[in-house]
Order: sequence, then C-alpha cells, then structure tokens
Amino acid sequence: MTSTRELLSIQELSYWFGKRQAVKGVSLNVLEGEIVGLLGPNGAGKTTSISCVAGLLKDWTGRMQFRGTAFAPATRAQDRLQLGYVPQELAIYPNLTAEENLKFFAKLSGVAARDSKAVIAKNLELAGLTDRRRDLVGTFSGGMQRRLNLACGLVHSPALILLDEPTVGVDPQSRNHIFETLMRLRGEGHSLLYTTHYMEEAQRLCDRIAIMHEGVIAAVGTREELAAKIGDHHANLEQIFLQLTGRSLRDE
Amino acid sequence: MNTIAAAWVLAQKDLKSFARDRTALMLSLLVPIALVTVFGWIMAYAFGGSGGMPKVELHIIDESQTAESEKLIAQLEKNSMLKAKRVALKNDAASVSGSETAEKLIRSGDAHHVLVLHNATAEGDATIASYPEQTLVRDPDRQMEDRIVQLALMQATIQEQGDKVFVDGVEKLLVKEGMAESDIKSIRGWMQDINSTFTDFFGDDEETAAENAPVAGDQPASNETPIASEESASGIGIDGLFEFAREVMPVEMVDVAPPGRKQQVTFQQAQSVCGMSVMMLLFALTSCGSVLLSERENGTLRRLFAQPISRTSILLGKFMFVFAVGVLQMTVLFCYGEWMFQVGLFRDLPSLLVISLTWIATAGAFGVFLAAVSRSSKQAESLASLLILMMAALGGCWFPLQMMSLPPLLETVCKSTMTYWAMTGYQRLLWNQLPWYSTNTLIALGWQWSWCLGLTVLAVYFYRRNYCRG
Repeated sequence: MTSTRELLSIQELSYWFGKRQAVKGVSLNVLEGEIVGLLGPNGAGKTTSISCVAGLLKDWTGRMQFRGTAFAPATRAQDRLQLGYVPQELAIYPNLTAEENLKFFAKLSGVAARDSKAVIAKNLELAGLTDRRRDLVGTFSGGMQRRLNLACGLVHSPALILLDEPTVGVDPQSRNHIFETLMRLRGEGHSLLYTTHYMEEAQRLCDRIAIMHEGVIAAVGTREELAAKIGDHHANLEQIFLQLTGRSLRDE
Repeated sequence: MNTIAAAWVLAQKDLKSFARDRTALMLSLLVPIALVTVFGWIMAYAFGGSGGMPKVELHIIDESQTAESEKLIAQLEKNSMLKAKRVALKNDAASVSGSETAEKLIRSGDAHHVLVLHNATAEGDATIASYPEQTLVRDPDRQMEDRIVQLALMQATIQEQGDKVFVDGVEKLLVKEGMAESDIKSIRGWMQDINSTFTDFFGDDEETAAENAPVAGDQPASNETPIASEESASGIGIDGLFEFAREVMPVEMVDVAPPGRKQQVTFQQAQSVCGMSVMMLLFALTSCGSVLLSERENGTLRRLFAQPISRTSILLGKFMFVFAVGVLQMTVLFCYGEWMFQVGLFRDLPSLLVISLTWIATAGAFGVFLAAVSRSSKQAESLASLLILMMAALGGCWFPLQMMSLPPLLETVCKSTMTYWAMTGYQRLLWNQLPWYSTNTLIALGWQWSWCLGLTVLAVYFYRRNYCRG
C-alpha cells in the first residue's frame, strides 16, 4: 500500500563519534506505507543512522524533514511522537507483566487513559500475547519477549516505525510472527525503516533496500533496481552487495 | 506529557518493579531491622563491657578564676578519661550566671556535663575556704558518662585538696544529719583511717581508679542497682563506697533534662535506631538509584530517550522513586524501632517528619548522584560500599562521636559528612527533645539541604555528561 507521498526525508546526514565519522552524508527518503531496509554488516552505520532519526543522538549534521517540515527529534518531544522506536536490545521490564509494559509505554507516549485499554488489547493481540498478558515478562521465551519489544514501540500508533534488527536471536516461529506483524502494519498505512544484516529478511520484507557500507549508502532501490544497477537482472542481494561494496556481506 | 507527569509514570514503574523483586524488597527492609536490633542490644550494654574507654566530654565554666580553680582544671585536663573543654562566660552578659549558661548548654544538647566553679563562700572550713565551690550540671540520663566524670572529679579534687577532703566532707555530712560536734570530734581518728582508704582507692593512678570505679549502663542514677557487687573487706561494696565518696565530695549536683523525656529511653538505643536507620537508608537508596544504571545496561534507557518525554523527567522519576522507597523504609524502621525499644520517636511527629524527609531527600540525592557518576553497576556498588561505610563511621552512625576523643582535624572531617548532620538532627530530636525549628536542628537541616542541593546539581551534570551524550 505504498503511496508516493514522502514521509521522511534525510539529506546529507553525518555523525561523528569523537574523531571517527560513523555516518558519512547519508541521504534517504521513506514514503508513506513503505518498508525501507537498511542492509549492511555490523559497523556499517545502520544503528547510528537510525539513532539520529529516533532522536537518541543529538550532534548530527545534515537535514531531516517529516511530511515536508523540519524534523528535530533529539530536541523536540513532539517530533518523537511521530516515531515508534524498537531497539535491538530487549528494552522491556522483566518485573512487569506484558500488560504493564504496554501500559507504561502507552502512558509515556501520551495515549489517553480512555483509549489505553483498547490500545493495550490491540497490541497484545498483535504480539500474540493476549493469553499471557498478566504474566511477568521475565518468564517469557526470547521470542515472546521480542514480540512484546516490538509491540511496545507501536502503542501510540506512530506514522514511522524504526526497527533496529528486531529479529536478532529469534526462533523461526517468532520471526515469522514478527514478519507478519510488520506486513500488517504496512497494510495499515505505517511506514517502516528497518535495519538488518540478514539478506533474506530484506529481500522478503522491504519495498526498497538501502545498501550501507562504512557509513555510506552505496545504493538504494528495489531489488530489481539494484540488480539493474550492477547489470545483472537475476542477481540476488548477496551478489549485488558484493558488486557494490567489493565485499561479501557474510565476510564482515 | 509534562515533565512531572512523565517522571511520576517512570517512578510508578520503578516502584512496581521494586515491589516485584521480593529479594530486594526483603533485603531493604529486613537487613536494617536486623542491624537495628543487634546494635540496639549491644549498645545498651556497651559500657558494661571491657575494652578501652573513650574520653568523656566535660565542659567547665570557671567563675572563680582563682589559682585553685586553675589547678583543679589543669588536673581535669590531664585526666586521660576526660576531654575537658573550657567555656568562657561573656563579659557583656553579666546577668547570666555560670549555672544558667550550663543549663542552657545541657538543654540545647551542646553538653551533657558542665562543671561550674563558683567563688568560695565564707562558711567553708578555713583550710578550704579559697577552694572553689563546684556544681556539676548534668543530663541525668547520660549515666555512661556520669560515672566517669564523677570519678575524674573525685581524683582531681583529692589531688588538689589533699587527704582532708573526705574528713571535711564526712564532718559536713554528719553535721547535716544532726550529729553533735562533740561526737564528731570523738570519731575523728576513725575518719582518718577511712580517709586513707579513700585516698588509696580513688586518688592513685587513673587506671587503677578506673578499674575500681563501678560502671553502669543505663540504670537510673537515683535508683541504682550495683552491677559490680564485689564487696570490700570492710563489707562495703564497690558501688557503696563510690556512692559514699560521692556524698562527701564538695560537689553539688544539678540535673537538667527535658521534662518530656521518657525515663526508659536510653541514649544508646536512640543512637542505635537512628544510626542504623541513617546508614541503611543510604544503602537502600543507593541501590534504588542504581536503577538508572540498570536502565542503561538493559537498553531500556535508549527506548526511554526515544519517548516523547524530556530526559530530565527520567532523572526526576528516579528521584521520586528513591524518595518513595526512603519514606517506606524509614516508616517501617521507625515503627519497628519504637515498638522494640520505645525510644520516643513519635513524641514530636512534625519534627520527626521534617528531619526524616530532609534526610531521605539528601540520601536519595546521594543515591542518584552515585548512579549518575558511575560507569557500571559494579562500580556504583563498590563506590557505594566504600563511601557509605566511611560516612557512617565518621558521621557517628556506629558509635556516638560525643563519646570519642577526636583530634581537631578528624572532628572537622566528621562534621563535613552528611551523616553527621543527619545524626545531629535525630539526636537533637530524640535526646534533647528539641523541635525542628530550634537553632541547632535548623543548622543540621541546613547542612543536609546543602548536601542535597549540591548532590542534585552534580547528579544532573553527570547524568547529562554520562547518559545523554550520544
């Protein structure tokens, strides 16, 4: 359900950790209802880029626009309200129940008390945890925790969902559940910016893929467009990555 | 969502998590209770035990300003059991007598024993006419110190007045009891024998005197039960001998105590309940403050930073959380302490609240500061153990500093700790029965608020530097 309306526009984004430049002039846009994948090995600058967009890092340079207006998530809480952030770590509280975790993040995200019940029920269902809603999260399997981790980022129904490697260490069953959830979210009109180093995931989920290497976006497009760029219409993502960066993704 | 509302949501989450962690909850409540109990019992009998005695503070007001009074003061200053402190009377306050000043010192809690040396009156014996009359103004419930002060006073008086002191004293006593002058003269020889016994007993070196002296824990002065019941050859027990000696000494005793003080309250127990509470609150709140570190280590802090709330509200939420836990712990501990030892904690509830809330805020600020300044939970734990134990010892949580002879530098170090001011606040409340708005208590509260403010500013600075940058 991808539209042609631009939701997020990133231009010349750069970020330094001390003297080391982790992100080097990245430009990227995300359309409404689109899943964009940032594909690259560890250390490519994916998490740093997504952290700048999420407002976790302040001192970046470049420009960001959200629906055509200047976007400063690090300094403006109102801008962060447009985003749902799902970190790589299991950023949930094991001593709280699934319901309490969702309620906590719903409150912080400004979900009105009268809507809270319905929102929590919807997200419990989305995470497949309705039956376990009153159980402590510490008793959940890794996959269940991952699903809840995802659901906690969605409670305020954000326009753009930022996912930082959400399937790391997840069993195949839970991974499929997460994929289905992400497709459902796209179907509901949400946009997703998704980092991964799994080519299969990127190929299966993403409408467009940005290949990132050493802080730079080497190419952006659909798989077909990327394949056309290297002159091999039948090339898979691994071959495309090798051609564009001179390295195999698996070697990194 | 505004900062306060967001902070409160965060604090509620932490409280819920804390309540779910039963081990942490039990440890934070039961460990202090166990320590309060153990220390309370031990301290109640501390002075009945063996070991080196700390120096006891004796304030001296010399109204007579004679060579004799100087000699007596010099003897007291030499005494290794005492820490003699001269109190100068202000020249411009001629209407305020030494006794009045002494009473004021006792009531304000600045002293527990004050010796006032008055000008000698003409009615005394010619041989001791120039010797200053003595009034010992004392807090009657500080029996631990009382025995030592009196013993030292006896020694100093005997050393200065010679062996006539007992004979004169006994004569005065017998006259007071109505014995005829002729009868007194007839037993003068027998009294000389007693005199030599007393002189041997109290007037020789301090160590022997201290060994001979009976020691007391918390028995009321007016109705003493001898602890050391060993009897001398003449059939008089050591306590009896001591009491008799006290009767004949030329020292008038004046007891000054707050009228509302309960008789069963012991300084040691009040000290233990407060000392352990003050120290354990620091441990508990430091541990609670480290939830900030846990948030960072578990990755939840990044997620919180991405929420539409200010970063300040996250830190404020931690303050609220540690404050709430502090109130819970103090309430439980004080209820238990009152039930167990009846130390009169709730006699002045508004003052208890002001003093306790001040300390909870200060200890909470310390806990959050430690979390903000540390790089990891392990670092915070090590730093907390080191700093808290040091501050507890220096601040007098383990043992009352009034009972110690500290060199000036160490005394200054002790007074620079926040635990010292917390203990001072509680001692003023429990022991001196002073309300929170008394000058001394306000000074203690002021120091704690200064600490609280300083630590909060540092916590915010280090939080921004260590947590919010990149």
